[in-house]
Amino acid sequence: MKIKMFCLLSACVFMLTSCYNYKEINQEYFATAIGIDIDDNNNFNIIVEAFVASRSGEQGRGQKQGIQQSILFRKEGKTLFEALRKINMNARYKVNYMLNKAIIVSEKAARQGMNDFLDMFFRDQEFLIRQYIFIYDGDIAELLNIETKEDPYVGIFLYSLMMNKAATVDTSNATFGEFMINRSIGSKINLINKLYLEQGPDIKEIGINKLAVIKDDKMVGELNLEEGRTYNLIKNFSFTGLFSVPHPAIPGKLVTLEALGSKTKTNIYYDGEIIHVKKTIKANTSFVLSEGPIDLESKAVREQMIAEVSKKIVDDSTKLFNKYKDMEIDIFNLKAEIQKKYPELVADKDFLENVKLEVIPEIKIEGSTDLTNYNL
Amino acid sequence: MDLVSTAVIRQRLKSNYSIRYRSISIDEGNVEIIYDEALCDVKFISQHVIMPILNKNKTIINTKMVSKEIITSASVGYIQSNDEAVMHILSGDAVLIFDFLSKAVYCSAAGFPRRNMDSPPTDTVIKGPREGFNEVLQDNISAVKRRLKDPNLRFETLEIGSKSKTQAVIAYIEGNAPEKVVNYIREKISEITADYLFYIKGVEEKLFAHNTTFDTIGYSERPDVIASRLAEGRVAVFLDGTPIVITAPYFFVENFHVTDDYTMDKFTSYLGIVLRWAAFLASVLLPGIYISLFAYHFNLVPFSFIFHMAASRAGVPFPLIVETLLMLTFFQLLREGGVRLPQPIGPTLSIVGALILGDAAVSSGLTSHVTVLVVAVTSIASFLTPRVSISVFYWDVIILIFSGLLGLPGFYMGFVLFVSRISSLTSCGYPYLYPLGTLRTLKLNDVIFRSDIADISQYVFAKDDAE
Repeated sequence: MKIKMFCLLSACVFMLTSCYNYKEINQEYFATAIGIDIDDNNNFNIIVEAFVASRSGEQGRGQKQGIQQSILFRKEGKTLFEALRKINMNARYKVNYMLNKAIIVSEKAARQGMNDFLDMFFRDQEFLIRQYIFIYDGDIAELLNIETKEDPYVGIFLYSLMMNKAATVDTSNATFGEFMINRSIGSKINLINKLYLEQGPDIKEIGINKLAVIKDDKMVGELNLEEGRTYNLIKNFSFTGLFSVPHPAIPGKLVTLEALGSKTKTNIYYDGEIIHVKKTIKANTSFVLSEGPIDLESKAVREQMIAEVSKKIVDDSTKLFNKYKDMEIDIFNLKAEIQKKYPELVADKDFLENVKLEVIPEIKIEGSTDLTNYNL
Repeated sequence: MDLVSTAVIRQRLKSNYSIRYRSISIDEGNVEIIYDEALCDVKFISQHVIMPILNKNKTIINTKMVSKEIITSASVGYIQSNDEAVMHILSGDAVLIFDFLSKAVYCSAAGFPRRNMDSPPTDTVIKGPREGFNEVLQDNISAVKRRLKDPNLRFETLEIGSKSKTQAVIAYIEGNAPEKVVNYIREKISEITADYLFYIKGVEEKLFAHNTTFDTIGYSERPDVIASRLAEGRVAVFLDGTPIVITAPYFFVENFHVTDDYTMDKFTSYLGIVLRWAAFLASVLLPGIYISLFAYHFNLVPFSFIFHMAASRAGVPFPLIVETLLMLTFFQLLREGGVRLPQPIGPTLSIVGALILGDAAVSSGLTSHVTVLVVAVTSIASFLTPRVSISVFYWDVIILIFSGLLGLPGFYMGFVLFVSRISSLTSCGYPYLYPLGTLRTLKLNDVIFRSDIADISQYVFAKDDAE
């Protein structure tokens, strides 16, 4: 029995090690961001931001703690994989992509089509699906080379930015894994956050200011953040942003309601000619700001605010839907939802012509702690 | 012919500086009183043996009369051979040889310095009794008897060591203790063939069913603990000359219990027991998990920690597994040094080891901060269950090697091996993991959470006998 057990364990030791290799943590460079660009000859330009740990160079301090620093690697290749492989040629240690946080694709590459290289990120075991993908219209090397105030690594900074709900309320929150799912269902529509780099009061600052519309892995349009908010509401991504509407009593002034959360239900029915897609948006809001005196105890005032918010949601979503419908783009990927109920209706390429989007907002203003029954 | 001869005894006990021969001449003849001054109370012999013989007002006609009418010692008996006489002298009795009578007489006159029954330093309590065993068998038995006035409490005397003649006592409560366990222990002790036996480990090793670092036989220096274990139905073995009393069967879960669990309130004991379990698991598994995660599966660790770790290890010349083994060994050196050094120096060494050595190891580039932390946590955690701390070290190394070879799959293999090993152990025929992993009714109501004292297990083995 002991011999059998020994043989079994020995077999495991020698047979399982192919999947799991012993690695020394200080003998790896960890990529934190990968920038992908293409040149005029369709060659890939890869910029990798990597974390590098090295010995402390200070004399007389002993080992204590090594130095953490960010290094940029830049290589070209006919394929993405080839370019990534070349990076290892002049790196002391192998670059490990296990902890990569951001894939930044140039707008040029995105408009040309991303299907040439997305597959590798999904197929290779080393790349995890919880990283985020961004688009940047500019020099990615410059973007990755700037010093952010909050983090020495741009990749980590972008990852933290995506974790900050307040910063991403109007943007796409999809991870790379979710992006890969969306690219294969329904109308294959995806939104990717677009980065900007601008001079701040001190140093250059990075942020998200637009959303790129991706269809069939190609960038086909852009949404501003207000349109992004509408998109999130319709797509049932719990929305916690702001609604600014005209003041019910003072012309030219605004009041602001903050959404505490939203839930969108979809009801689809086909009347023989038109496919009605009814989106019921339930949102709880809290009154946060008024640019002038307001009588919140007045039911009429509250109803007027609700009507304004509802109107805004309906107008914005209808406008966005129709704008892209004209471009034959199913921006809300309604095909994926209709397909479940009426698969035969979306078989036709022009199915969008027959789709009518109805948005029904159900807005509720929640009271404060000392004022209950606010909605009666 | 005299059955006991002074000359023979003198010959047998020659070159024995503390043996005293006191001759008294009385009307009937000579009386030789032989005793060991190192073992006997000389004052007692003067008052209760010599004085009554000298002041007697009757003529001694036989040994029966000596024992019944003259000697005032509580314990008196007859001796019929020289061997018997020698044995009694060496046991602390005074032997009286009458040249006018055929038999000799002995009387108990033991009196030797004995240690107070102080609180044992290895098993201190906050709220419990302060009494601990000493090296005198009678004192130890008396301490237990005072706590158990059960008429079914039995103390069977055995003699171990053909030359040392060490007295051992098997204690149990008839009716509570399973007969098969009592017989097993009696049989095993009678199989001991050593000439001399000084430590109870000799008995303990005979009772072990396996070669293992885990204690499958319990021990205590506290009479209250032994009394409660006897009440539960366990069997205790006392040995003259040692303050350690062993009990059997002993189960794995008992490593996580201390006396204070039963003297403090149950919520305090919940915390203590849960902490000890958690510390045990941490001490066994932490080095293995550490190697698996930081040498194989980086993606399971938060990236900020990976970065710190990589920076911390930058410049360390050894692979992570070698570094961890090295630090575990350093710690064992410290532990052994601390234990062996005299008490006043021991703590100094610990401080020097912990503060200086750890920091110096990192500064010299031999190891990283995180490895020092992992080994320190592992070691401190193993102190919460001191009875298994050595086993923990061995299994740390085994699981570490498996994890170093295979990562997490290796870690799981090591863990399964570890659990299999504990499961395969037995204590006097009972599974060591009892009641965990058995189908029997759970009678130990304090495995993880202690119930109220009134509800906890009283007769752990009672139903098993009926089965």
